[in-house]
Amino acid sequence: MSEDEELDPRFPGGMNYLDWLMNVLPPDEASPQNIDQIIAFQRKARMSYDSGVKPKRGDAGPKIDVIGLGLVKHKPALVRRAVKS
Amino acid sequence: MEDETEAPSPFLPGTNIQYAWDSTSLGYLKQCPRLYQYIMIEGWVARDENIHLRFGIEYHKALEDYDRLRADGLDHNDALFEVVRETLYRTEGWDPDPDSKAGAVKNRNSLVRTIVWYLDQYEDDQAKTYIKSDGKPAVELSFRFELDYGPTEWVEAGAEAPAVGASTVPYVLCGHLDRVVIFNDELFGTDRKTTSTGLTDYYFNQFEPNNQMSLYALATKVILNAPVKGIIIDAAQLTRTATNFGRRFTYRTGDQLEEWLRDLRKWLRLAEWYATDGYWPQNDTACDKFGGCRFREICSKSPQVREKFLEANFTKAEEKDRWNPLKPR
Repeated sequence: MSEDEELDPRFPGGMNYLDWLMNVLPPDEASPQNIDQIIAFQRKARMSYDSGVKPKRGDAGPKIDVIGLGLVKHKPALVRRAVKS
Repeated sequence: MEDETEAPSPFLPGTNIQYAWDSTSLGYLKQCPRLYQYIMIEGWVARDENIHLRFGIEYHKALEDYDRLRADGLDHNDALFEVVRETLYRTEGWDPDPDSKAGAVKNRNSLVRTIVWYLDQYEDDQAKTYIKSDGKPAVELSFRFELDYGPTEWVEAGAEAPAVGASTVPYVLCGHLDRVVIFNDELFGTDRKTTSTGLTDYYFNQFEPNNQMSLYALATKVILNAPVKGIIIDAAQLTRTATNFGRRFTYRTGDQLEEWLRDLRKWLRLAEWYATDGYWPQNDTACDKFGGCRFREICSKSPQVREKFLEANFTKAEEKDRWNPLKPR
């Protein structure tokens, strides 16, 4: 696994918080805060990119313990995409 | 994403003579008659083409919604919020194969990223959406106008008669303009593009001259009945992890548009001739253009085995799912 593909141990299947927001959370269950978080993440990613920082998947999402807060409801089996080393 | 209403065929009944043209189908014809045959006549579609198509539709829809919301008085952040939320709803369950070339760069994540980055980049856009005389913003304008001639009208007296009623159908030019804007007190059409190509001079030079941009400049002029300076090309280059943006202007004079229309008459006549003849020849000087034609591998095979290779590498869309200039967005 490359450095860019660090897994977030809080999420199943190597997801990060953004993955969870985007791909697991049904849109009709997304709160306004969730939408704000998605936009905030994208803005942060853009700032990093504009400042020359190489994006890392492990950087995704705010650093809060969503499992501890009970925000993650289920653990879908995700197939991790192949990463060329 | 299925369209409930079935669009009428762009072809004269019972023929391969196309009477309704948009820049895409006309571009195929001009690039290579065989390419036009494969896509417009036979309906062959590359397997990952749907990913590009869906991404483009969602991207354009999101930006159109944003323009409308801003014109309604919402501020940038509120409009962006609504657009992201609606995009998530519309794309729920859309999951392009991340291992495909298209899916690796065009997927739900990169769609939202591109929308947010683009709208933030152009939050204080110098190009202001033109407000039409009815008070509505000039965004996502579908156009359809008739030419003063139609298929078969050039058929000489005594020639084989065309399909019944065919000569009464005029040619129709149609398409969709993303937005019309005022920039430095002048009117421009806008076309938003997504690409994986770097946004260099090489990329932007393809738009001058360019079939699509000339048609869009003409359409802007016809729809608004006002002088149009040209088209603004708003390009987004997608990579796996980022999106870059670039904007260029392409200008068209009245004389250039008249020349384009004059040439169009010849192209349409040629298209009719191919259709009547039932043969669309290869333009083998275009195979390596535009990043390489998608049918290049097919055309490089011997004619008798091409059908097999087409079946193996492409899917044949049903008539209702084929590219149709008359299909509403």
